[in-house]
Amino acid sequence: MDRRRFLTVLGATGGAAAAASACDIGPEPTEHLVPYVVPPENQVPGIATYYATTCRECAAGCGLHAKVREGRVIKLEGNPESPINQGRLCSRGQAALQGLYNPDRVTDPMARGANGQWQKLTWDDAVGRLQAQVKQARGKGIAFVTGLESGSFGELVDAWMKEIGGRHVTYEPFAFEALREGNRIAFGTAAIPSYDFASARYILSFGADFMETWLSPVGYQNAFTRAHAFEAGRDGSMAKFVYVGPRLSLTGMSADEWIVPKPGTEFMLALAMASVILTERLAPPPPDALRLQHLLPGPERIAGSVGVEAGKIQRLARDFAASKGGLAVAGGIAAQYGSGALLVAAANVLNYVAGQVGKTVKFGPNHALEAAGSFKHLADLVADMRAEKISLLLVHGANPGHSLPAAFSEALGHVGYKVSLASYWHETAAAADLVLPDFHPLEQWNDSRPQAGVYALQQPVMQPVFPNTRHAGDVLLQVAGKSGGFKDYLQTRWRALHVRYGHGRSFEDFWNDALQHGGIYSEAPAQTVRLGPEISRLMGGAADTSLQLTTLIVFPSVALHDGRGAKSFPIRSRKSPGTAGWRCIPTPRPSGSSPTATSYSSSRPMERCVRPSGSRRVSARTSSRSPRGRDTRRTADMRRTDPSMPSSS
Amino acid sequence: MSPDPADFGGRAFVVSVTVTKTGDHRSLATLEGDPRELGEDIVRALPLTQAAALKVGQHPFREEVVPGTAKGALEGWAEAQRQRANLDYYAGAHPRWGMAIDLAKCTGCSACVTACYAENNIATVGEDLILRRRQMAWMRIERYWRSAADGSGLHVAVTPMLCQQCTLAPCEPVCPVFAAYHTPDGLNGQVYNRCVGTRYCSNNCPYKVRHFNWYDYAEPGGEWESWPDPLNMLLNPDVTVREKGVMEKCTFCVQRIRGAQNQARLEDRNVRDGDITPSCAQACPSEAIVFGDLHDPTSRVARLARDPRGYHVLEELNTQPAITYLARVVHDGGA
Repeated sequence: MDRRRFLTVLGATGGAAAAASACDIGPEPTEHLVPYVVPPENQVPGIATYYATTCRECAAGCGLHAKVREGRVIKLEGNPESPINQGRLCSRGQAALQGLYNPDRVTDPMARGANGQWQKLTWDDAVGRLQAQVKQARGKGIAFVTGLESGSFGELVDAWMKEIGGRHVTYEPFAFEALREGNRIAFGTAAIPSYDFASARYILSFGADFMETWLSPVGYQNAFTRAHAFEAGRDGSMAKFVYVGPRLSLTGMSADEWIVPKPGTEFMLALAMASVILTERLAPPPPDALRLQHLLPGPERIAGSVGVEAGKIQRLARDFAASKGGLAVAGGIAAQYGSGALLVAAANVLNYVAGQVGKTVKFGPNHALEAAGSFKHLADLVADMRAEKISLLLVHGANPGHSLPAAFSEALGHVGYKVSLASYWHETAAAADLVLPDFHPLEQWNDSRPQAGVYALQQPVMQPVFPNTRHAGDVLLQVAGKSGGFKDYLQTRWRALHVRYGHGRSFEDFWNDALQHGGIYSEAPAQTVRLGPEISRLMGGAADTSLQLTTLIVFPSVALHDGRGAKSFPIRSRKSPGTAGWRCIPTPRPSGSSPTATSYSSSRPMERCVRPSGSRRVSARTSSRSPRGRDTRRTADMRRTDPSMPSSS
Repeated sequence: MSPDPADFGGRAFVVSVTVTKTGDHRSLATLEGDPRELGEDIVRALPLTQAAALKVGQHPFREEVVPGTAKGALEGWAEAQRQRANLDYYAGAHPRWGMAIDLAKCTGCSACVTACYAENNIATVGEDLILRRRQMAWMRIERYWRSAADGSGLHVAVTPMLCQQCTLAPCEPVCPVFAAYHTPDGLNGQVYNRCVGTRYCSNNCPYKVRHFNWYDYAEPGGEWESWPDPLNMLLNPDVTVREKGVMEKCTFCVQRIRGAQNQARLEDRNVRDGDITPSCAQACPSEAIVFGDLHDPTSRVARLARDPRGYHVLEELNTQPAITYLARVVHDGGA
């Protein structure tokens, strides 16, 4: 960074980001080079200022305190007031700053010219082009793919798509479809309940990596420790934790017992345990569960297929029921077999017959991921793209070009015009026709509802690192011809909350209070659930679905998540205890597919982890070594080394 | 893997495969099984019934490191040392910063490691240097496989390892230029400006928690630059960026200690228990790490240091670490 830019950031932030609640942060950078002649409000040199905001590294939505020194955010800590993470933060959250200050950020609006070369645009030009494309594409198929946006931004996209006749597809690589479908089969609701690990006395995980990537890992780990830690004098002292799955994950490493059934047969184990609990009347059975008694397979019947002795299954079932605080969780991304939904339904049955639904499994404070789209929605979209039914595709907050099968990248070729509202030069952006640089979540206004009853706010904690980037929300409002910025839109939405949670205060007071605390935290009312009608039909059809040959199970990395962690150096330098490789292939790209777009991660030293071995980039990388064996691309940003990328800066 | 969605609308991430040899060999840049790790017996474990039966004052792990005959002589020597050391600002009552790490809570998630990177401007060195074991992390998670007493089952024991801030630190007396020195509040300080890079301290450290800067990781545009522009904006202004040829190590987040002390002075009070939280302790999702003043008998860390489960790593070396580990507790029959 040159001196001029440093001072710009310094001066600009003082006034704007520091007065987080009061000032509007426009896209235009303030160009004062003498920062402290007029001392910025709320800021003393050498003293840190903290702002509450929300982490967007995964869908959990942990509360953050951002530590800001002289206008730069330098550290993220958990927000102790947030009920999601209790002031704690995981590796990925800690490393979010690496994304904010990443050299691979998109700095200016770019468009692909006639010869395929990237050219820089002014914002007026870029917005004009998008408006023209929208006008042209009306009625010919418009689609907007976003990540999970459970707040105002999602509503804005919904409203806009409705207006121009497009469709909004939300895409999370880990959308927990099996979990939702399994809950629908068992209880008739596709909601994702809140799991109370803290009060559980016997935790049974069927492949759910709840300390890594499963729903809300920080909060769950915190609660798990409360149950599983040793405390002298506490009755019963330590909860027991049994991990069932083919791979001993980081979560499984904390287990007291590891059970390895044949891959794909976990659901039978859960059903057999439920059967033991029912037939031996180990817990008072809920009346509607009795009809299952004769449908559930007994342990002797399935022991052979599962590969676990019947005696062991009986012991597990008896311990589970006797603990009077059993909690079975299942169907994490790590156990997504074709029978994934069945496994979740089976674990639900186990919780239900043990009388734990309503106790350790609480419907009501449901997880936001219930609103995420599914892979099927996206596959439908890909089919439409291929059939040339989509003439304008907008992508924001997701990188399907990386995390989807190559079919997506191929289908992109059939789309008339592709717009990426991206912060980084990732595969999807590189394959677009127009790239509009978006703010990093730490630079923008936004909100989300990570859990029913929790309204988490995001506020800019500093001036944009790259002054010519813009909030996607502002851009959309402008393209849609609406007045005002996204912050106004957000506040309009929050006026409804003000009515409910304002307690007679003025909106200004209510808003500032919410900003200061990171949002509004309220209790969601509990819901009662009963077994759904589909469950007995399903039990009848429980067939042997164990997989043949050698089974390859692709699991998400605790460090890299769906691949978005790859932009962070410390994340790559931390080890994943228990895995042999430093960074296994974290993203579910089928081997043999040849990625058409170039990854921002490919310029980084550890691309092997992000790419399946054998892709062309590995060999390219070897040839870029200097005679001393040093990887010349280690620190160089991709624009210098990769001719396919624009030289924008 | 099928590109089509499974019945439940999602993707099945599991597929049957056959495995063939390619003949291709490559090194895995892993930090697992690092030579710096000390061996399995640094993670102590207690069966649940035994742990629950422990009474206050019992110390099953405390080793009698000094034979009875030498006790008198050693105590006399220690007293003489104490008197000699009570000079200048070393005299008087000082805090003794200490830490307690509960291994019954630690899950090995490594949030502490990343938090330490973020707080202390630690360089990331990249794959090639990791292969050459030149990682800079001040804190590491050590992972040990073990089985139950009857040989059954596969269990895992994890432990964070960082500078133990020894009272009798082996790193200090070997430094020819007094770069490694003892602060009045018991920290093993490292004066980067004095360090000439002999690496004697690291050789003498039994815990292997000192890290040497083999290259200039902070040089803008340099060969090994760790924070290419604008990543350098995330550097913590309270912490030095170290240069080539300098040894570095965990400081117990001394910038946070001094910050809290300054704040207390401004408010005309003493530092209270809980005022200071090092970065690792603040991040830990399991709340396994507790920091504070060991000289204050009411502090949380002092109470935990007296816990019957407490032990020091390599206690037999008489380094008297400031970090007390609380033994893992396993269900009976586990490991």
